[in-house]
Amino acid sequence: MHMSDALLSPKIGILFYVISAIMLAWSARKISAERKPEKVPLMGVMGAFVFAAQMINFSIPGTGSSGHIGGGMLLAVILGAPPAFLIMASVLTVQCLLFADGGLLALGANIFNLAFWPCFVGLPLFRLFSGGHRSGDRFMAALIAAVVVSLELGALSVVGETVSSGITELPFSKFAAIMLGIHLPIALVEGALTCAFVAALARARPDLIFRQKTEIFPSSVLYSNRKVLAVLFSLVILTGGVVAWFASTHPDGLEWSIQRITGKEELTEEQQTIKGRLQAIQSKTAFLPDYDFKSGEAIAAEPEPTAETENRWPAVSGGTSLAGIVGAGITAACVCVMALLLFLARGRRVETGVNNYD
Amino acid sequence: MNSAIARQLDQHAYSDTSAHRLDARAKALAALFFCGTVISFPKYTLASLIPFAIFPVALAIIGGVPLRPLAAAIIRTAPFAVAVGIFNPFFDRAPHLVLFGVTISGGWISFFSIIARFILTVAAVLILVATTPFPKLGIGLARLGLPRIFVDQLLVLYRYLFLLMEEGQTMARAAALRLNSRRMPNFRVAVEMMAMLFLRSWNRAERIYHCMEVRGFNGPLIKTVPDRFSLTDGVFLATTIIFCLVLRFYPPHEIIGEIWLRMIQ
Repeated sequence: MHMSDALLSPKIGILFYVISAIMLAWSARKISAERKPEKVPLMGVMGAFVFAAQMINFSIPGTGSSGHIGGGMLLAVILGAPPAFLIMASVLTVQCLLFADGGLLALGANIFNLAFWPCFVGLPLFRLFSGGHRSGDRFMAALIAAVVVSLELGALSVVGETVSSGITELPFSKFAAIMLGIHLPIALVEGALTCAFVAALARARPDLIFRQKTEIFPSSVLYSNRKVLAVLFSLVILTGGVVAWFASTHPDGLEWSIQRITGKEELTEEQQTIKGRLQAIQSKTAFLPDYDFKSGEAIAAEPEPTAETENRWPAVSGGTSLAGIVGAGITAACVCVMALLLFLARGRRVETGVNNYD
Repeated sequence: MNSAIARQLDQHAYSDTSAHRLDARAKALAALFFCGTVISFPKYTLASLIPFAIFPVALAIIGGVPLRPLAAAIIRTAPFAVAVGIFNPFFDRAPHLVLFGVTISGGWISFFSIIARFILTVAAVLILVATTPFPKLGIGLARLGLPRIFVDQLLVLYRYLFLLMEEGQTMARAAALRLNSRRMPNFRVAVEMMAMLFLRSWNRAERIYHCMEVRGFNGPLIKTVPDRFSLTDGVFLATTIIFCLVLRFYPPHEIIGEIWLRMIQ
């Protein structure tokens, strides 16, 4: 899921732009230092390949729905982290600009959510757990686990960014439960796809995959297959368990949460609800001590002014709010008139262009 | 959003209007500043967002951007923002506004605010792209500070984007015509198709590199004479920034509303 500008605040947008820019500069420097100009067309075409591969939808048995590949982990395994990061970043840039998939100010956040996690967290995890194996059960399990971790962390990042922006009302725990839950089967399918894809490639061109020589963790670190599989298994259980825990506390997810809120509404006085619900949100987010939700504190600090404006509103409803509406209507009318005038002034039809750059 | 709409908007970028002649850097910075201002409003802003429509509308009209693909693109990319925003009315029911006897909750105001932000920001980006050829945009971004190697491969990506997408679509269509009633390949077939596509792309990349090498490529991709940042571009950028700042801090609907109130009294 690509983050949209509409759900983001400028602070969060800029913060993730800075993070992504740093990672981008670092990756670019690493690649430039290799002095291999053949990487430029290769990375470009691989980026176009990602788009093309996403055109190939396949049916998922048992669900009646279709799916297609994401691509981050796949590129990371085959090409290494810095090129894969650049490629995914450019794919996301093109998606943002040409396909309006993800906001312009959310681009930094999208690069972090969808390119950073697979390349710089998923890939090291995969290398650690596969221990240099290039086929077999351990390889497959490591790849699937890495994909699941990357996608779930990406989904969690989306939740974190949205909640700390403060534009939406979804509380962290419910939003996280929904996002992590939805992305788990998606991640498993993506993991299976990546495995099968790398295996198919290995049959056709074994020289292409695993070209990079540097191993972040040497394979001698983990000896026993059993130990590794145990760690992998627990990792998957941990990720799945977190989701299951969210899901079990809210069995019907959405309907439950809506009913809870609806029930609450009937009992408490309407004037109290902002403060009460904000406190409820804050108490729910408080049990995750890692997260310092400034938005939670900021929202809790807000009640004083909002409570006063709430008391003011009924008294104001007569004159000023109507004036505001009329003002808005007149402004909208002005925009339409200006557009019409511009359109008439433009005159001749604009011809469609020809690409002179190729 | 499907590739046909993207291609239409991209095709339009090669037209020639006053909007197209503006420097890519000015347009990119203007779009960024515009989006930043729009999303900087507090949660319950709705009427203040309306006058911001002038920027994308004016640029679209001057640039002759075709409306149908633009509208189609906005509608097709709306689902995520709408799906998240629609929860606002459920979670935030405190009354915020009383209009002709109807109490409107804050949740609905913030939901429509999200919709308005979405439309404004997406329109700004699409119009930026429809009035700027992508290669020029890429070079402009490189001159603004993006790493050169990133921009180079971004431009190669763009060059082969529609080509490879069409290849992917052709493969998918060929499979659909030959396969089961679902008209979609199963998992195994899809993987083989993707692997084939990958190897073809890889070979293509190698051929492309050899062609580039033979023509003297040894590093930076495009060595054209850079566009100059003219007075028009400066005026455009400054006007946009001032326009955004003024509207951000002096919402016209309040001022007009005050005047209207005084006039009727």
